[in-house]
Amino acid sequence: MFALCACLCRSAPAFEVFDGLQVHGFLSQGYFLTTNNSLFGSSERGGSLDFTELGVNASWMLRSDLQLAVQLLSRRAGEAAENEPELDFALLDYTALATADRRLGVRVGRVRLPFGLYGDTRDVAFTRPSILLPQSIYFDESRELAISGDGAMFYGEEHSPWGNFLLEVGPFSPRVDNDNSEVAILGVPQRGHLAGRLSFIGRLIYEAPIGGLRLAVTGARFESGYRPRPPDKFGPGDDLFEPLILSAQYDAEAWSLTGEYARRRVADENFAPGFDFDIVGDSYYVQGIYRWDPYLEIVVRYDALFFNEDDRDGTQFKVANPGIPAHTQFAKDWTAGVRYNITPSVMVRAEYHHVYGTAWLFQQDQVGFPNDPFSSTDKKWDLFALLVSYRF
Amino acid sequence: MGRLLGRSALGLVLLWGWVAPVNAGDEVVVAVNRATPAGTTISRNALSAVFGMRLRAWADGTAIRVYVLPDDNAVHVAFSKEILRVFPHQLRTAWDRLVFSGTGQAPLQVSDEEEMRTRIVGIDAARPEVVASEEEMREKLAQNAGAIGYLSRKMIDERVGVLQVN
Repeated sequence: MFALCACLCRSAPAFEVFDGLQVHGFLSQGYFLTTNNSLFGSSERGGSLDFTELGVNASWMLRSDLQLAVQLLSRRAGEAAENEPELDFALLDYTALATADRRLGVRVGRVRLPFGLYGDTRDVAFTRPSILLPQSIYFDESRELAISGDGAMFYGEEHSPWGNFLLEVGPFSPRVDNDNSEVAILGVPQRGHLAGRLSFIGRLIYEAPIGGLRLAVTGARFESGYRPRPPDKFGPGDDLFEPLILSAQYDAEAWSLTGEYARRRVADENFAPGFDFDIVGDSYYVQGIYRWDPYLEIVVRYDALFFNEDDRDGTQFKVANPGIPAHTQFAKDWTAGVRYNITPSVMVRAEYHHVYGTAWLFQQDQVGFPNDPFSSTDKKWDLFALLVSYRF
Repeated sequence: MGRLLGRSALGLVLLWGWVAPVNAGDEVVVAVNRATPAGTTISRNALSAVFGMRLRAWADGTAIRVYVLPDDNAVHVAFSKEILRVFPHQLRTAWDRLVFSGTGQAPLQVSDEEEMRTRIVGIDAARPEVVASEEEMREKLAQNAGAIGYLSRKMIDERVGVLQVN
């Protein structure tokens, strides 16, 4: 089947249906095996194949300054995603000005949110540095929140002898009316539902004129509100998520060095008495990639996440929440992986994670969910993953 | 003495210049359709904008159609590194970001230099057609006006336009 696949992808890396209409897509299948704890299904004892990513998009250049683009996505990821197709983006892009040095325009509709270095294409395995993105910054639990929103995104680019400056900024309403976001915000899906409110995001990228240095800063303010449906244990609560991400990447021919640091403010109020909180967490990773040749590359990374910068080991949390382990408040992840490009359109990957803490594990995957998801989890766990991916 | 040293250094540079391209036919040049309204030269900035898929129309409004060879093709590697001065994996990352975030389109990929030339010229050399007049010939050739790609010098013939990069 792979030979057939390889043949197809060599001859047809993309479909140009007619002048100006392109169709692209990707399909990835993962295998996850953990020593303890669960990730993407029952990954202990024999492992789990419960991870599939399928996406198809079409872009249509209506005029040289007007483009329509739509992407449908279907994900299966343990208990958190079960193949329901979702509208990932659907937007109209108008370029008001385009010269060799400068570009200005706006995208409207369901637009991709410019989030860090990897957020733009987080579901496309080919564009990720590893099977799992560094979870400290791109935690999958709130992926719907961070990946796209309904609104407008203004963009401006300046390509000068001093380097390139790329700015994207815009207002939008976040996608919170889904089970994952409800679990991320409320713990378990409730009777009422979450609704996005006016939110903002902006990202400025600087690319040095010579060499592969890229620096970026992302700032965002995500707001949503809860609409209770009586009888409801929660009132009309407000949720706020304010990440600030600093990113740096140096890209040489044979190797890349990448680091990102994030500070996140998360605040909830008016949900229920005693439920209010306002905490700042931080996270960072440092990652090296070595490309042996165009086909083989290896990656090594250290990735750390802390929900509360004033309580990095979770001791205060455990005192305030007896019964929930302290290790739910952090995750420190050593990763080593290898990627092999069989053809430019087919690749396989393997990687190993040695993790302390469970901060980015999905509650839904754990045996105790929803009542007691984390008491049976272990602080120290290992993960082995395989992935095969095809794109056109 | 200083002058002498200077001369021999210059001589070395010249000699190096002669020796370095093992085969002049392997040099990669920017190739366009004869009817592509791009003139005879293109700035490196403009070339980066074209191959970065940021510039979508030539100055007169004709749509730009960008053709590329597969990432691991030797001519593509040489074009990326020597002319665009980026690594092939960086180009691929940029194109993937456009395609999978809905912010742009990918260049059209052809399988080898023969196909590249055919697509740029705008007629299929494998299926020769007889045209009635010079005018019809011009029309045929102009079918892919706006096309841009790259070829090794030895692939260039009178049907293909070449842009000097400055």
